[in-house]
Amino acid sequence: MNQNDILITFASWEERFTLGFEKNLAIYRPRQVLLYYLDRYTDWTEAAREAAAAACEAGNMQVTQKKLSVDDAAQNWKSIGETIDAIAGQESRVVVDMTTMPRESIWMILWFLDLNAGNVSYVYHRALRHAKDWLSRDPQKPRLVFKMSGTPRLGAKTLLVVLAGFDPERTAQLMGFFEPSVTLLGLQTTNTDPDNDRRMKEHAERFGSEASVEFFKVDAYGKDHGQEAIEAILASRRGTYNVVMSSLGPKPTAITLYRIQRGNREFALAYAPSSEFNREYSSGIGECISGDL
Amino acid sequence: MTAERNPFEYAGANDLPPEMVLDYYIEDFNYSRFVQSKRNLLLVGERGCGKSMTLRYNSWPLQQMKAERDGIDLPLAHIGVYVPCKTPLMLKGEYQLLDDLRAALLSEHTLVLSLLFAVAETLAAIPGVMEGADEHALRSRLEFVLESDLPSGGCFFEAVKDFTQRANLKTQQAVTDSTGSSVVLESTYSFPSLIVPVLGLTRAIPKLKHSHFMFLIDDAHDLNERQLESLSSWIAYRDHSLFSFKIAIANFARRKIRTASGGAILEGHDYIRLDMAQPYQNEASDFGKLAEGLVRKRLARFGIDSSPEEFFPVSRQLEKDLEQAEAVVRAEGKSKYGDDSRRIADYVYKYKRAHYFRARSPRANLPEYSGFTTLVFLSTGVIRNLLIPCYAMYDKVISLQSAKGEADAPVDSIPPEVQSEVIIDESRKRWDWLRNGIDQNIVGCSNVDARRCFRLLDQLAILFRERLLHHKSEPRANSFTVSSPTDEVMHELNRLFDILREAQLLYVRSGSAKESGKREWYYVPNRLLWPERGLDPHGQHARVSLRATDLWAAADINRPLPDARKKGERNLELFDEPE
Repeated sequence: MNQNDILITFASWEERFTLGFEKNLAIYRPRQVLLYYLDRYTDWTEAAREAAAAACEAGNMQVTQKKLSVDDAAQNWKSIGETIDAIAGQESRVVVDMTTMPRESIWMILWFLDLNAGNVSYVYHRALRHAKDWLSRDPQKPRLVFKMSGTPRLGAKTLLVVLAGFDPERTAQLMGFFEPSVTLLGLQTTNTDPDNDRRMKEHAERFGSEASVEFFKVDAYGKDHGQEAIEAILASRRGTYNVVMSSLGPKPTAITLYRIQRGNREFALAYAPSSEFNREYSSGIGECISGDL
Repeated sequence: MTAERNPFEYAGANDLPPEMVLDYYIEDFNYSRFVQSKRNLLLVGERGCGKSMTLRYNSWPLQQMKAERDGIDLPLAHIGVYVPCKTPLMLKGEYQLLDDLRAALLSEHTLVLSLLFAVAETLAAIPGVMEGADEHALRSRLEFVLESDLPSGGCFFEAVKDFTQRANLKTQQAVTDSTGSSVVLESTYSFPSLIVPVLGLTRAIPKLKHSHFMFLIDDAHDLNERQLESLSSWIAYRDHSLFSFKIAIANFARRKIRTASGGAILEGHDYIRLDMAQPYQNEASDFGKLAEGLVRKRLARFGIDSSPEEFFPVSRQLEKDLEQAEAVVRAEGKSKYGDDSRRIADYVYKYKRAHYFRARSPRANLPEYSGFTTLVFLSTGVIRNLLIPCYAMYDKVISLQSAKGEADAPVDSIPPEVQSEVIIDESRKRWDWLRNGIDQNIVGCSNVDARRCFRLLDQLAILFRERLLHHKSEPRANSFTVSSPTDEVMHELNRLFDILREAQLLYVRSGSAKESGKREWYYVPNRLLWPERGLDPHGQHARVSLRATDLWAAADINRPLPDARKKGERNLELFDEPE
């Protein structure tokens, strides 16, 4: 792998952050590291951030840590804009590790990199295992992402695209919030996660009787992370609805939705935040997924 | 759109076809006639209490359809302009990237364009709206106001729609411009600069020259704070001859409504407030009559020639048990009060149902819940709560018929055992949700608070059960007031109450207080919770007074609520209405 200029990553207490960070340094050999972390989890991520900083120092890499807010999206927009503006230029080669990055941060970072950087790639380290009981809870009000909120037409009905995740109730919350006329619910096709089939079945059962919900299959771990499937199902609806897209499923679909939004500026990206994460969210590190934006 | 498969369809008003809204809507006992007026109205209430349905029903397209059905002239005196706020456009947050002034300008601009589009769309649909009007002159005047050309050709109001769509697109493209991180804000419109002049122009259109425009603003709680301030400023306009606002909003009690200049708008002066969730549910109450009319209308639409009471019959056994209970209680009353029939009647009202519950063996299964009146009580005054179990019951009967190969057989009633099964199932679902954590889907609810919410309702259920079985004065009380509040404890409790309200597990009403006719807030847990706990959903108009510290201790450390038999409680007062 060629040397990259900048690695942008997001600190977490999860084992895969630290293990993935070591891999990233070895593979991408960045000159600079931009390490974001969330204010509410400052303590939980302290050890991981210290270890990351020490590794950077040992490798003679400059590291910048930047705290982001769980609640204040506008402040995050400004912080991310300022930090990326300060270090990235049109010649920069940047790799974004989205493993433990909130989707809203992924989208904001990619947006600013589109504006500032020359070459952007991404990496995602899958977990070996996830917690069995719960991963996140205390959902907050969904919000449209700045500058990626689309150009909704007056008088048009809403169409919601949701890529299903762990919990059908989170999908229900999004549907309750946007009250779409039509919901296109993307179910992840079978993958290495042993619980995937059960979870997708729960979604199908929970929403199967709702006339306004249409299911489609998507493979977040496929070559295009499901882009073709999503674009195909949206093709016949373009121009009819105000389209809002959100991902609660596997993280690579954040890239997919970003790509689709950038190609269709009238579509909106929506983020559904959670206030509480399981300290035992995941363990181990699995397959590494990467690509160019 | 919803296909009609079940007379008790309870999809959101916006998902129902117009014909179905007309067929299902009840004009009586729900203030709908207040809407057809020149007053500013706030329709307040939780989800599912009929706010959107009321606004949609009063929108011009529905009123037009109704007039055509009734064979009367088109209703142009009051033109309802429906403006939905739960739209991606209103939910955009880029205004947050602007300073205060520009954030306010952008927010108002977006709302004003939505209003103008709704006006133009409504008026464009009026048959022959421009008959006798000098369209050329109107175009010139509007182009002067807008400082912009209108598209040529086509209907005047279609041109206004196109202009509005273009102005909106231009704004949104500027706001989401990807060549810079800041938000570019070009010229903006305001209510006085856009809506007032456009409505003023309608005075030159013969068909509209006497029309009053009612802006039917739905889901106003989804507007941002600055838009709400703008809306409040418009409400404060003194002249209501040309337009007024009818605003549906949830969680109103927790919102501070201020105008853009920081002033307050006053209930009674600037607007009238209508509480859509109604406090009383007995047969004689407005809600009881509304529910009866609503179910009767829905049954008739499905060709079912039964009254609600016939369609949802009480089980024979329950009727018999209640008759027996009444006989026992009446005899007790007679021995206490002799020939004083009024006091005996009061005594029977208070204790008949309690006696039925008390006489049941402690080891017996859950009591049977059936009968239309029971369903109305279970609704806690919220229409959707009435329709949900009815929908499930009808569906279950169809399923049972299908299993017997009689899917197409007419449904002329819901057997009591099916009613009971569905009611208990609905009740159980709510407890399961509470127990398993409402933090999974209630915004702002932490896991700790989810547990507190469960414990609070659990302890209230224990207390109400204890009262039902043993309390001498008000055994069927199932609402409460908070006494001895302190800022510290109420801060905690209000957070839980807000979560439970959002989850529609608790409703807040205002009523007369014990002290000198003051008003007070009281709290009514969703009565669908009670069947799973063997409680009586038929409420009694008594509020248990509970100290704030005791409620918090119940929620926080699961401490049982004090035995109300030893505490003061709020009994019927002189001007209270018994249920």
